[in-house]
Amino acid sequence: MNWEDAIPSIAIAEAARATEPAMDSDQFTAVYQRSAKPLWAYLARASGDPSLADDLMQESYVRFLCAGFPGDGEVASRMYLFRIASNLLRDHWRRPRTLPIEDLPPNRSAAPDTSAQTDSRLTLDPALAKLRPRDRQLLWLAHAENYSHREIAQITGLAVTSIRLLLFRARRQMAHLLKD
Amino acid sequence: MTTCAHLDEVRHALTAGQWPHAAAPELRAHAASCNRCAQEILITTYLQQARSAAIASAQPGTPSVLWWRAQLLRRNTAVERASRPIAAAQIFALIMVVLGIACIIGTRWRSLLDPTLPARAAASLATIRGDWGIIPLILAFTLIPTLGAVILYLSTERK
Repeated sequence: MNWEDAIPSIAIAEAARATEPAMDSDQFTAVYQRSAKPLWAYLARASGDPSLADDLMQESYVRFLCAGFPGDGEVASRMYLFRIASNLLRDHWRRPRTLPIEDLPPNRSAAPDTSAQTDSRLTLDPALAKLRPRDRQLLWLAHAENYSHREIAQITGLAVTSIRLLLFRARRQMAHLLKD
Repeated sequence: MTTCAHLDEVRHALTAGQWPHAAAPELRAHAASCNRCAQEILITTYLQQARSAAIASAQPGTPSVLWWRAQLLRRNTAVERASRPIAAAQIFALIMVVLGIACIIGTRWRSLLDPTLPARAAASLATIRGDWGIIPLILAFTLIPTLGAVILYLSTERK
Protein backbone atom coordinates (compact mmCIF):
# COMPACT_ATOMS: atom_id res chain seq x y z
CA MET A 1 0.00 0.00 0.00
CA ASN A 2 1.57 3.25 -1.14
CA TRP A 3 0.31 6.66 -0.13
CA GLU A 4 -0.71 7.59 -3.66
CA ASP A 5 -3.08 4.62 -3.48
CA ALA A 6 -5.06 6.74 -1.03
CA ILE A 7 -5.99 9.01 -3.96
CA PRO A 8 -6.62 6.41 -6.67
CA SER A 9 -9.63 8.21 -8.04
CA ILE A 10 -7.47 11.13 -9.21
CA ALA A 11 -4.89 8.96 -10.94
CA ILE A 12 -7.51 6.69 -12.49
CA ALA A 13 -9.58 9.63 -13.69
CA GLU A 14 -6.45 11.10 -15.28
CA ALA A 15 -5.65 7.72 -16.79
CA ALA A 16 -9.18 7.29 -18.09
CA ARG A 17 -9.05 10.67 -19.79
CA ALA A 18 -5.66 9.86 -21.32
CA THR A 19 -6.74 6.42 -22.48
CA GLU A 20 -9.80 7.42 -24.46
CA PRO A 21 -9.46 5.04 -27.42
CA ALA A 22 -9.42 6.43 -30.95
CA MET A 23 -12.03 3.82 -31.96
CA ASP A 24 -14.58 1.85 -30.00
CA SER A 25 -14.79 -1.92 -29.76
CA ASP A 26 -17.22 -2.29 -32.64
CA GLN A 27 -15.16 -0.12 -34.96
CA PHE A 28 -12.06 -2.10 -34.05
CA THR A 29 -13.85 -5.39 -34.69
CA ALA A 30 -14.81 -4.16 -38.16
CA VAL A 31 -11.23 -3.08 -38.93
CA TYR A 32 -9.89 -6.35 -37.55
CA GLN A 33 -12.22 -8.54 -39.56
CA ARG A 34 -11.27 -6.79 -42.79
CA SER A 35 -7.52 -6.60 -42.21
CA ALA A 36 -6.49 -9.54 -40.00
CA LYS A 37 -6.20 -12.19 -42.69
CA PRO A 38 -4.20 -10.10 -45.22
CA LEU A 39 -1.94 -8.91 -42.40
CA TRP A 40 -1.39 -12.47 -41.19
CA ALA A 41 -0.69 -13.59 -44.77
CA TYR A 42 1.93 -10.85 -45.12
CA LEU A 43 3.63 -11.70 -41.82
CA ALA A 44 3.52 -15.44 -42.46
CA ARG A 45 4.96 -15.20 -45.99
CA ALA A 46 7.54 -12.54 -45.18
CA SER A 47 8.78 -14.31 -42.06
CA GLY A 48 8.21 -17.89 -43.25
CA ASP A 49 6.97 -18.71 -39.72
CA PRO A 50 3.20 -18.93 -39.08
CA SER A 51 3.61 -19.06 -35.29
CA LEU A 52 5.68 -15.90 -35.38
CA ALA A 53 3.05 -14.37 -37.66
CA ASP A 54 0.36 -15.14 -35.04
CA ASP A 55 2.38 -13.40 -32.31
CA LEU A 56 3.36 -10.40 -34.41
CA MET A 57 -0.16 -9.92 -35.68
CA GLN A 58 -1.55 -9.74 -32.15
CA GLU A 59 1.21 -7.36 -31.11
CA SER A 60 0.54 -5.21 -34.19
CA TYR A 61 -3.13 -4.75 -33.28
CA VAL A 62 -2.34 -3.99 -29.63
CA ARG A 63 0.17 -1.34 -30.70
CA PHE A 64 -2.27 -0.01 -33.27
CA LEU A 65 -4.89 0.52 -30.54
CA CYS A 66 -2.40 1.89 -28.01
CA ALA A 67 -1.04 4.39 -30.54
CA GLY A 68 -4.51 5.93 -30.78
CA PHE A 69 -4.35 6.19 -34.55
CA PRO A 70 -7.12 8.64 -35.51
CA GLY A 71 -7.92 6.50 -38.54
CA ASP A 72 -8.23 8.62 -41.65
CA GLY A 73 -10.17 5.92 -43.42
CA GLU A 74 -9.82 2.20 -43.85
CA VAL A 75 -6.90 2.39 -46.30
CA ALA A 76 -4.81 4.56 -43.98
CA SER A 77 -5.55 2.33 -40.98
CA ARG A 78 -4.58 -0.73 -42.95
CA MET A 79 -1.34 0.85 -44.15
CA TYR A 80 -0.55 1.91 -40.59
CA LEU A 81 -1.06 -1.69 -39.45
CA PHE A 82 1.29 -2.96 -42.14
CA ARG A 83 3.82 -0.38 -41.02
CA ILE A 84 3.65 -1.54 -37.39
CA ALA A 85 3.91 -5.17 -38.51
CA SER A 86 6.94 -4.35 -40.69
CA ASN A 87 8.66 -2.64 -37.76
CA LEU A 88 7.98 -5.66 -35.56
CA LEU A 89 9.37 -7.97 -38.25
CA ARG A 90 12.49 -5.82 -38.55
CA ASP A 91 12.95 -5.85 -34.77
CA HIS A 92 12.57 -9.63 -34.80
CA TRP A 93 15.21 -10.05 -37.50
CA ARG A 94 17.61 -7.78 -35.65
CA ARG A 95 17.23 -9.63 -32.36
CA PRO A 96 20.01 -12.12 -31.53
CA ARG A 97 18.94 -15.72 -32.13
CA THR A 98 20.10 -17.25 -28.83
CA LEU A 99 17.53 -19.38 -26.99
CA PRO A 100 18.02 -20.47 -23.40
CA ILE A 101 17.82 -24.24 -23.03
CA GLU A 102 14.57 -23.95 -21.02
CA ASP A 103 12.87 -22.34 -24.01
CA LEU A 104 13.78 -25.03 -26.52
CA PRO A 105 10.81 -27.09 -27.73
CA PRO A 106 10.76 -30.62 -26.24
CA ASN A 107 11.00 -32.51 -29.55
CA ARG A 108 13.71 -30.35 -31.07
CA SER A 109 16.16 -33.23 -31.39
CA ALA A 110 13.55 -35.65 -32.69
CA ALA A 111 13.21 -36.52 -36.36
CA PRO A 112 11.14 -34.08 -38.41
CA ASP A 113 7.44 -34.83 -38.60
CA THR A 114 6.59 -36.12 -42.06
CA SER A 115 3.03 -37.13 -41.30
CA ALA A 116 0.05 -35.63 -43.04
CA GLN A 117 -0.95 -33.98 -39.76
CA THR A 118 1.85 -31.44 -40.05
CA ASP A 119 0.43 -27.90 -40.07
CA SER A 120 -0.07 -27.01 -43.72
CA ARG A 121 0.43 -23.36 -42.79
CA LEU A 122 4.14 -24.12 -42.19
CA THR A 123 4.81 -24.71 -45.88
CA LEU A 124 6.49 -21.77 -47.54
CA ASP A 125 6.55 -21.78 -51.33
CA PRO A 126 9.99 -22.85 -52.58
CA ALA A 127 10.56 -19.72 -54.64
CA LEU A 128 9.68 -17.46 -51.72
CA ALA A 129 11.74 -19.52 -49.30
CA LYS A 130 14.89 -18.95 -51.37
CA LEU A 131 14.56 -15.18 -51.22
CA ARG A 132 15.94 -12.98 -48.47
CA PRO A 133 13.26 -11.94 -45.94
CA ARG A 134 13.44 -8.28 -46.96
CA ASP A 135 13.00 -9.19 -50.62
CA ARG A 136 9.99 -11.35 -49.74
CA GLN A 137 8.58 -8.45 -47.76
CA LEU A 138 9.01 -5.94 -50.60
CA LEU A 139 7.69 -8.26 -53.29
CA TRP A 140 4.68 -9.13 -51.18
CA LEU A 141 3.81 -5.50 -50.54
CA ALA A 142 4.24 -4.60 -54.21
CA HIS A 143 2.65 -7.58 -55.94
CA ALA A 144 0.33 -9.24 -53.40
CA GLU A 145 -0.91 -6.10 -51.64
CA ASN A 146 -0.50 -3.81 -54.69
CA TYR A 147 1.13 -0.98 -52.76
CA SER A 148 2.96 1.72 -54.73
CA HIS A 149 6.66 2.45 -54.22
CA ARG A 150 5.80 5.50 -52.12
CA GLU A 151 3.44 3.49 -49.91
CA ILE A 152 6.02 0.72 -49.50
CA ALA A 153 8.55 3.37 -48.49
CA GLN A 154 6.14 4.62 -45.82
CA ILE A 155 5.50 1.08 -44.57
CA THR A 156 9.11 -0.07 -44.47
CA GLY A 157 10.83 3.22 -43.64
CA LEU A 158 13.14 2.92 -46.67
CA ALA A 159 13.69 5.61 -49.31
CA VAL A 160 11.59 5.45 -52.49
CA THR A 161 14.71 5.24 -54.66
CA SER A 162 15.99 2.32 -52.59
CA ILE A 163 12.63 0.57 -52.91
CA ARG A 164 12.80 0.88 -56.69
CA LEU A 165 16.28 -0.63 -56.84
CA LEU A 166 15.62 -3.36 -54.26
CA LEU A 167 12.38 -4.35 -55.96
CA PHE A 168 14.09 -4.50 -59.33
CA ARG A 169 16.70 -6.92 -57.98
CA ALA A 170 14.17 -8.98 -56.00
CA ARG A 171 11.85 -9.20 -59.01
CA ARG A 172 14.67 -10.38 -61.24
CA GLN A 173 15.73 -13.03 -58.71
CA MET A 174 12.18 -14.22 -58.18
CA ALA A 175 11.47 -14.45 -61.91
CA HIS A 176 14.65 -16.48 -62.28
CA LEU A 177 13.56 -18.83 -59.45
CA LEU A 178 10.06 -19.21 -60.85
CA LYS A 179 11.32 -20.00 -64.35
CA ASP A 180 13.65 -22.66 -62.90
CA MET B 1 16.07 -1.00 -64.63
CA THR B 2 14.01 -1.46 -67.78
CA THR B 3 10.43 -0.28 -67.97
CA CYS B 4 7.60 -0.50 -70.44
CA ALA B 5 4.92 1.93 -71.59
CA HIS B 6 2.24 -0.77 -71.19
CA LEU B 7 3.27 -1.81 -67.68
CA ASP B 8 0.56 0.22 -65.94
CA GLU B 9 -2.12 -1.30 -68.17
CA VAL B 10 -0.83 -4.80 -67.41
CA ARG B 11 -0.73 -4.04 -63.68
CA HIS B 12 -4.27 -2.68 -63.77
CA ALA B 13 -5.51 -5.80 -65.57
CA LEU B 14 -3.75 -8.00 -63.00
CA THR B 15 -5.08 -6.19 -59.91
CA ALA B 16 -8.58 -5.96 -61.36
CA GLY B 17 -8.61 -9.72 -61.98
CA GLN B 18 -8.99 -9.18 -65.73
CA TRP B 19 -5.82 -11.02 -66.69
CA PRO B 20 -5.67 -12.93 -69.00
CA HIS B 21 -9.20 -13.57 -70.25
CA ALA B 22 -10.70 -10.09 -69.88
CA ALA B 23 -7.55 -8.26 -71.02
CA ALA B 24 -7.37 -6.62 -74.45
CA PRO B 25 -5.90 -8.94 -77.14
CA GLU B 26 -3.31 -6.27 -78.06
CA LEU B 27 -2.14 -6.16 -74.45
CA ARG B 28 -1.84 -9.94 -74.32
CA ALA B 29 0.10 -9.92 -77.59
CA HIS B 30 2.39 -7.24 -76.18
CA ALA B 31 2.94 -9.17 -72.93
CA ALA B 32 3.97 -12.23 -74.91
CA SER B 33 6.84 -10.31 -76.48
CA CYS B 34 7.82 -7.96 -73.61
CA ASN B 35 10.20 -9.30 -70.94
CA ARG B 36 9.28 -6.66 -68.36
CA CYS B 37 5.52 -7.25 -68.65
CA ALA B 38 6.00 -11.04 -68.71
CA GLN B 39 8.02 -10.78 -65.50
CA GLU B 40 5.32 -8.63 -63.90
CA ILE B 41 2.61 -11.14 -64.85
CA LEU B 42 4.63 -14.13 -63.63
CA ILE B 43 5.43 -12.64 -60.22
CA THR B 44 2.08 -10.98 -59.58
CA THR B 45 0.11 -14.11 -60.52
CA TYR B 46 2.32 -16.25 -58.31
CA LEU B 47 2.13 -13.91 -55.31
CA GLN B 48 -1.62 -13.34 -55.68
CA GLN B 49 -2.11 -17.11 -55.56
CA ALA B 50 0.19 -17.35 -52.54
CA ARG B 51 -1.84 -14.57 -50.89
CA SER B 52 -5.14 -16.35 -51.52
CA ALA B 53 -3.71 -19.58 -50.09
CA ALA B 54 -2.34 -17.81 -47.02
CA ILE B 55 -5.61 -15.96 -46.41
CA ALA B 56 -7.52 -19.24 -46.68
CA SER B 57 -5.32 -20.83 -44.01
CA ALA B 58 -5.28 -17.80 -41.67
CA GLN B 59 -6.98 -18.35 -38.32
CA PRO B 60 -7.07 -14.97 -36.59
CA GLY B 61 -8.22 -14.94 -32.96
CA THR B 62 -11.09 -12.93 -31.54
CA PRO B 63 -10.66 -9.14 -31.65
CA SER B 64 -12.21 -8.60 -28.19
CA VAL B 65 -9.19 -10.13 -26.43
CA LEU B 66 -6.85 -7.78 -28.27
CA TRP B 67 -9.16 -4.85 -27.56
CA TRP B 68 -9.11 -5.47 -23.78
CA ARG B 69 -5.38 -6.17 -23.77
CA ALA B 70 -4.77 -2.83 -25.46
CA GLN B 71 -7.10 -1.01 -23.06
CA LEU B 72 -5.27 -2.50 -20.07
CA LEU B 73 -1.91 -1.54 -21.52
CA ARG B 74 -3.07 2.01 -22.27
CA ARG B 75 -4.48 2.40 -18.78
CA ASN B 76 -1.30 1.09 -17.09
CA THR B 77 0.85 3.39 -19.20
CA ALA B 78 -1.33 6.39 -18.32
CA VAL B 79 -1.30 5.57 -14.57
CA GLU B 80 2.47 5.20 -14.68
CA ARG B 81 2.75 8.55 -16.44
CA ALA B 82 0.43 10.20 -13.93
CA SER B 83 2.43 8.91 -10.95
CA ARG B 84 5.74 10.24 -12.27
CA PRO B 85 5.37 13.69 -10.57
CA ILE B 86 4.62 11.94 -7.26
CA ALA B 87 7.81 9.92 -7.53
CA ALA B 88 9.73 13.11 -8.38
CA ALA B 89 8.27 14.83 -5.28
CA GLN B 90 9.32 11.88 -3.12
CA ILE B 91 12.88 12.08 -4.42
CA PHE B 92 12.94 15.86 -3.90
CA ALA B 93 11.72 15.47 -0.29
CA LEU B 94 14.35 12.83 0.40
CA ILE B 95 17.11 15.06 -0.98
CA MET B 96 15.90 18.01 1.16
CA VAL B 97 15.87 15.84 4.33
CA VAL B 98 19.38 14.56 3.64
CA LEU B 99 20.60 18.13 2.93
CA GLY B 100 18.96 19.39 6.15
CA ILE B 101 20.65 16.69 8.22
CA ALA B 102 23.98 17.43 6.51
CA CYS B 103 23.57 21.18 7.27
CA ILE B 104 22.83 20.50 10.96
CA ILE B 105 25.82 18.17 11.26
CA GLY B 106 28.04 20.63 9.34
CA THR B 107 27.23 23.62 11.54
CA ARG B 108 27.10 21.77 14.86
CA TRP B 109 29.84 19.19 14.45
CA ARG B 110 32.06 20.82 17.12
CA SER B 111 29.34 20.61 19.78
CA LEU B 112 28.57 17.02 18.72
CA LEU B 113 32.18 16.06 19.49
CA ASP B 114 32.07 17.81 22.89
CA PRO B 115 32.78 15.16 25.62
CA THR B 116 30.27 16.86 27.95
CA LEU B 117 27.43 16.39 25.39
CA PRO B 118 25.95 13.20 26.97
CA ALA B 119 25.91 14.86 30.41
CA ARG B 120 24.24 18.00 28.99
CA ALA B 121 21.71 15.93 27.07
CA ALA B 122 20.87 13.95 30.21
CA ALA B 123 20.43 17.21 32.11
CA SER B 124 18.08 18.56 29.41
CA LEU B 125 16.04 15.36 29.48
CA ALA B 126 15.82 15.56 33.26
CA THR B 127 14.60 19.17 33.00
CA ILE B 128 11.90 18.21 30.46
CA ARG B 129 10.88 15.25 32.61
CA GLY B 130 10.65 17.53 35.63
CA ASP B 131 8.59 20.18 33.82
CA TRP B 132 6.34 18.05 31.55
CA GLY B 133 6.48 14.53 32.94
CA ILE B 134 7.58 11.26 31.24
CA ILE B 135 4.81 11.11 28.58
CA PRO B 136 6.27 13.69 26.12
CA LEU B 137 9.61 11.88 26.24
CA ILE B 138 8.01 8.49 25.54
CA LEU B 139 6.04 10.02 22.67
CA ALA B 140 9.17 11.61 21.19
CA PHE B 141 11.23 8.41 21.45
CA THR B 142 8.52 6.28 19.82
CA LEU B 143 7.54 8.83 17.18
CA ILE B 144 11.03 9.23 15.69
CA PRO B 145 11.66 5.51 14.92
CA THR B 146 8.04 5.05 13.78
CA LEU B 147 8.28 7.94 11.29
CA GLY B 148 11.68 6.68 10.15
CA ALA B 149 10.25 3.24 9.49
CA VAL B 150 7.28 4.71 7.60
CA ILE B 151 9.59 6.82 5.39
CA LEU B 152 11.81 3.81 4.73
CA TYR B 153 8.80 1.68 3.85
CA LEU B 154 7.31 4.27 1.48
CA SER B 155 10.60 4.83 -0.32
CA THR B 156 11.26 1.11 -0.84
CA GLU B 157 7.73 -0.25 -1.31
CA ARG B 158 7.58 0.66 -5.02
CA LYS B 159 10.69 -1.43 -5.71
